Amino acid sequence: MTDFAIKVEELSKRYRIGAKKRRDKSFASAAANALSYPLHNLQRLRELTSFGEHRQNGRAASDIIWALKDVSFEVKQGEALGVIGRNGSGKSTLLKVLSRITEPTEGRVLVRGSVASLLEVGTGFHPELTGRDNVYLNGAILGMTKRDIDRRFDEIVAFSGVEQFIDTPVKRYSSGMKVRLAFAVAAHVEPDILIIDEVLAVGDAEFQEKCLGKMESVTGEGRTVVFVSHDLDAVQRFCSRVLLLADGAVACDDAPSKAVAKYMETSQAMRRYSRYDADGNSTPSEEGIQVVRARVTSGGEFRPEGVPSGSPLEFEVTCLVPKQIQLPDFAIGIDTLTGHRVARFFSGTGNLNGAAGRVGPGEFTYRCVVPDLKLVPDDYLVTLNAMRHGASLAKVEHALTIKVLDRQFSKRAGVRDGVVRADETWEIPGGLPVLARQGQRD
Amino acid sequence: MIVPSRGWHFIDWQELWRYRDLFYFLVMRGMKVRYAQSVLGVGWAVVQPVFTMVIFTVVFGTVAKVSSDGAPYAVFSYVALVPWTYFSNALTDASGSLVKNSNLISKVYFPRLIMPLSGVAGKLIDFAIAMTLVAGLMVWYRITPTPWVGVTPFLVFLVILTAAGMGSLLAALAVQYRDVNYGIGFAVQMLMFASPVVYPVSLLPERLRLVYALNPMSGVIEGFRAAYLGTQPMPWDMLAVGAGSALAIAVLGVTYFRRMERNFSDVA
Repeated sequence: MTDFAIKVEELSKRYRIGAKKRRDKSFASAAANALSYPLHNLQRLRELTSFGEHRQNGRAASDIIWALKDVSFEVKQGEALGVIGRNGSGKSTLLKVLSRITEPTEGRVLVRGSVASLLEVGTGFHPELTGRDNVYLNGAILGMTKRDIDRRFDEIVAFSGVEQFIDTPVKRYSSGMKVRLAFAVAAHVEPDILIIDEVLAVGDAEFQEKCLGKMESVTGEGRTVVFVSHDLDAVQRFCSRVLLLADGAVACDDAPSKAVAKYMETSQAMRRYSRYDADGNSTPSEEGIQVVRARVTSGGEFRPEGVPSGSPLEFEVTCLVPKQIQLPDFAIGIDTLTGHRVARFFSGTGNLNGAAGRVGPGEFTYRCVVPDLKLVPDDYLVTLNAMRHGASLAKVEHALTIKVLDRQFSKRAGVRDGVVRADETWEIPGGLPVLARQGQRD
Repeated sequence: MIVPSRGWHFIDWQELWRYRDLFYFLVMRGMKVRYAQSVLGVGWAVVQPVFTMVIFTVVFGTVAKVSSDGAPYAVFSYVALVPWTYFSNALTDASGSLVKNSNLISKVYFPRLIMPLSGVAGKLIDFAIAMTLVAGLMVWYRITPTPWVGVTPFLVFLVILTAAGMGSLLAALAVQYRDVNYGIGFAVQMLMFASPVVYPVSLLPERLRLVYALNPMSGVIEGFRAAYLGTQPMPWDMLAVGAGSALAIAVLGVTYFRRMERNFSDVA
């Protein structure tokens, strides 16, 4: 028995996109078309809302697209669902259907509870009205009653930080103020289900933190959140489950790190695990150096299934030089799946155990040993870069993948908290203070 | 439960009631925005009918010498202009409401019928302000109103019905066919001549009277004149026909709107 908040069953949505214009081959037909122009327009406009199965005049239904096709999933109460996908994958359409802004073509959606959608910050804000008026208008648009707004008005204004200007027309506000006020209203709506679409894309870092904080407290209160974003880190941090949409269908409905991994996978050409082989498609630099092989081992063993966090890592990178050159520096970069750099190991002159001077022609291998890299369990990408004087000679982005596992368990947690961990200890110096007596409360 | 809707629906009264606060705020917004940073402010509600009256009095009353059933032409036309101005403004506002607010329609859910209805309701305030001048004019011309002035609310109700019905129909059409927007101003002007604003019904042949009454505004305007000026008896026959046609327009317009409602956000 699932207590779902939202249940989507085989949802499909069809749109008619701009029709192609017919080219006129002769002047006569151009003239004739000019006269029947209103008729064609009428037909075209009428078709905007009809989707006849029959094809007229041999015109194929090439201008119909299915923004969503047979999408099914469930969202439990109190869950935070993230929705990710490329532009055009159907995310916004899905939100529009969930918010009842547009109707499904097929399928159905069952919703339990009140829904408030933030598809855009400041919907309905009118520049001529004061901040106060706009709070009421925006609140009503989002579904609050006048009484609700009266009750929460002071809270909203305090949250936004624009008390001083609350009675001036909004057209005099800076864009930051507008966004803060709009979000303050939205944050206080208190629906059972909150739907948010890339709202965090606007606003400065402080504002984004505030937004995420508020969203976290919303789920803390047992409310459901559906969150669409391109910010994969935010999605991973905040959501307990992620839906990946591709071309209008569900590609993945799983733990955040898995869905994000699948998303990155489809968007990057190569995925290599722990072993890299240049298959002739890396172009050698002018010095002629090429990275031909690389691998990662842990404790001498090859571990494609993953290594526990804190295990030693050995990187072996083999390079090929066709002629004799000065030994280059080498850099190994470790990045998260979302492209953030977490560590960099640089050979540099003087680090290489005395090896220096000229090298080649032929192959030679760098070996880098990292005794205890304490990464949080997740997948990480390894970039290899042969350099000289800070300039890159041969670089392979994300050549390898390292799976870092939890130290105690072999399966990974779904949510990644940060990128590093440590072996910290906790204590209360001096022991627990002894209370004289328990305070009596009535 | 969200399903593709099929078929025809009428008004979901419960839902409209639930969104009454939004309705109220939209009407307020319409008012405040119009008079923000304006010197005359609400005075503008009077300017439109007054100036029109002056021009009509000069052109139709004095120059063309159109009959005005015995009353001074100025009052004759003003008493007609007040409800007519309300009707034409409400209609224009309502039909453009969806297109103008397409950003709201594509981002938020609310019963779309609120949009044209708030246009119709908003202009009522202007109507009320313009009506106050009627009292002033009647004092000036020393005309006593008949007891039929009590019928005014009923007449206003007929105008609301017609404006709401036509406004909804046109609003739904305007979303898909922008021609409606461009043509509405001019169509309303033509419609004015199909109503007894500048001339009295008495100028028309008797047999055409009831056909003419199919235009609900005919009965309403003659009703206003009968009530306030007493130049003719209360035209109950015209009002009956007009009421029937107002009701029909309202039902048809709203039903069409509701049928097309599901496509608004896709087409706007």
